[in-house]
Amino acid sequence: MKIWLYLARIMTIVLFADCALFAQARKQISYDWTPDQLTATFLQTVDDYSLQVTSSTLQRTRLSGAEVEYASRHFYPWEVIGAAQYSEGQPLGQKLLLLEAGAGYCRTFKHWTPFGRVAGGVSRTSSGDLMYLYTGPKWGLASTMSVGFDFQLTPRWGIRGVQVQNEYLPYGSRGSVYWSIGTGITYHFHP
Amino acid sequence: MERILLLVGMVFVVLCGMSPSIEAQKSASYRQVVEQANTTTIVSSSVNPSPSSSPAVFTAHIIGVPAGIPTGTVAFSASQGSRQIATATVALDASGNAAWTVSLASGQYGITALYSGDTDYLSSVSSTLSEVVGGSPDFTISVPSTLTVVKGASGTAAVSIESINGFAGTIQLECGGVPYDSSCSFAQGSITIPAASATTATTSTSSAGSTTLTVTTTGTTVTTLGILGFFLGFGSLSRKKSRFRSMMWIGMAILLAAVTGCVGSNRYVQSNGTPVGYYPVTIVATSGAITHSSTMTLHVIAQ
Repeated sequence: MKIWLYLARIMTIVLFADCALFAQARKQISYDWTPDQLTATFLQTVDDYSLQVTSSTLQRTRLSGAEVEYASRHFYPWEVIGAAQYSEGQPLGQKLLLLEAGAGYCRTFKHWTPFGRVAGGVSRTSSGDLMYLYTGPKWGLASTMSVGFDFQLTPRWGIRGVQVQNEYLPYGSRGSVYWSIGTGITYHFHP
Repeated sequence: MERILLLVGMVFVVLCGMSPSIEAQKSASYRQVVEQANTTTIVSSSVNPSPSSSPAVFTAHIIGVPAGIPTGTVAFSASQGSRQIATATVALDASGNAAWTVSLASGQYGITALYSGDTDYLSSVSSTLSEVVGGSPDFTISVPSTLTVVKGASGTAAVSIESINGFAGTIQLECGGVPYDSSCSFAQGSITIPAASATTATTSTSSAGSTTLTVTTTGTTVTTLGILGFFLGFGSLSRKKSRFRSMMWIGMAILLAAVTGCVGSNRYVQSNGTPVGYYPVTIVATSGAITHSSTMTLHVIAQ
């Protein structure tokens, strides 16, 4: 009889321990929900470069393009990002390629995740009409700073509500500053 | 009857021989000086302008003042500027007219008539009659058909003026139709064709003047307008405690700037200058009521 009582106590302890272990695991998954994120963003970029169409009319160079960004949130709330961006537009037929990596900071509040990032890398620009008086493609170092927020729709999918990006590029005699604004979709890599 | 005649004769003899006052009046005499009268010479043409195929007839009419019919000769002269082309001396007829028939080449002439005068009339000269032979004075303008200019450079073309029918005067030159960001100008904005060189009696058309048309195009230029303070505010990141707060402020500033449209000011303005292509450039020459134009194709090629 004592043996049965002893076994019952052991089973109870095991069951409680199991429940406690599972409970701890669920709680840990919920708290450390910081999976890496892949984002595809559609961008509209405004150059600080204009073409004088007539004596009194300036036409600003505007680019359209896309950016693919991977954000590693292993050190959440800090994040490490890598991004590739390509845009082109008129006038002057400019093409702009950005390859960069950097660091960011984000915080998740329920479904909302605002972020801010600083990145650096290389850029390549070219145009068919002597932009910056360059006769051929031009490579250079670039840096960007961006802010925005994401909104989580499902555990895997979400949208990038808005992303405002300031791009400092080495083109022209005094460097160039472009501004981009974009929106896109996000995908979370759950373990 | 005989008694009556004898009585009259006696009375006459008595009067003439016995009245001293009447004798004194008889001995005085008048000297009348008659000076030559003035004349006016008028020259006219039978037809003006006259065809070059038939002779022109010029008539000089001499009018005496006071009225009268002078005699003598009239010297006609046809000239272009200071150059005398033809002369002739014709005697006046009974009516005081002198007609000169002369064959002149096409051109514009100045016709004058000089009356020689006679014992009773003074000489006089007519005002100059402008006679056109073979059509109105005119000019032509000619330019090259095509002028090729490298974008950002200048090109020149010769503009020549030819006088027709003795045209003389000042011709104003203008050009138009040049493309955006280019200009055209003449070495001389006007060409003056002196009468002496306009034409000769045997040639109706001659090269009278020329100038140079310069078309200046503009190349691609980039103007730098200013510097933006892109890294403004990043100094606050050095303080570790306020790093997050600084980032938030920067983010807010960027968002605010983006929303309000204060971002993206112009730093570079590129002017592509004269567009490459073909353009009809019109050169207009004007002298009084006469206007002629000529078109030249301007070909702007890439740098």
